[in-house]
Amino acid sequence: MAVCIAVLTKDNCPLYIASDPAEDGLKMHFLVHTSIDVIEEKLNSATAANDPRDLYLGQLYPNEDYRIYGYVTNTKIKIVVIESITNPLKDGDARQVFSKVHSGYISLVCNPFYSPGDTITSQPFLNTVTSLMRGKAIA
Amino acid sequence: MTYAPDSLFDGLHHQMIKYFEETHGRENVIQCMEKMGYRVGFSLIEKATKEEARVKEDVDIVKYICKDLWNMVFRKQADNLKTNHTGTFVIQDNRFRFLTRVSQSDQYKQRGEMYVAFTCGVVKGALSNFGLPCSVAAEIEMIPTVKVTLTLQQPAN
Repeated sequence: MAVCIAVLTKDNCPLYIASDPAEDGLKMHFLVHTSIDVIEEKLNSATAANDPRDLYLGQLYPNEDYRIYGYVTNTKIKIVVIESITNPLKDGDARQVFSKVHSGYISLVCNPFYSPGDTITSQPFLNTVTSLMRGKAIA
Repeated sequence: MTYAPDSLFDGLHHQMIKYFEETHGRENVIQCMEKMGYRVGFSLIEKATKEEARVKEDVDIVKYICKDLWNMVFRKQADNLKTNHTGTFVIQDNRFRFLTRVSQSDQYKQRGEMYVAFTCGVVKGALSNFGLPCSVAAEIEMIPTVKVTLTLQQPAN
């Protein structure tokens, strides 16, 4: 079950950060912020351990309480998902979460009433993320 | 993916140009069409690159535009791509879709520029979403051959 999902632009501006109310919101923001460096490093490293053409970056860095996963789209939008160690997602599940968030973001961009770069306030997107965080069965 | 008949969009495109000419004046048609194309290109790329592997190099991005984007919009690939390796690319299409029904005399060359404006906007929006802001200009030497010149705003790596 994810405790935090964040979407950042190519310039690392947060478009959307939502965390589980049970967690410390500020700590989540901080973890997302520190993961930006790791993402950039992974993107720039010429000898990537995993397939350099894959959009999913896998686990970003180790932390005692949380696992942090990253994903960067071809349009340089970064998605970060943090999940607690007590309730871990399997690798396949993490990819599905990112895939759903990405699809939600694509629907948002195709919405003519949304200007790219604005903070995300669209209800369908918020609903998608909330249901992912609650760990509803990933259909 | 189902395709609406080509004539539907051709007709709409033509009316868009006529509308802007009547409401904003001839000088502004190209600008208006480009702006519309920009947002369309932006969304199109967002949607299209979801399943694609990561595209890294500038050249690869432009090649993607020539092949996949052109395929999506015109159902054919661009015919030629030239570069001077310093950030300028020229995409050539020998049978530009919106000009295939225009007669091949010089009489319509100037008006022809208005028909390429939307496409230039689409390319500009697409590249901008890839993170490569650029300026796009179109040149019609002989209808229906169109050359679209992209000048990347940063030097290519």
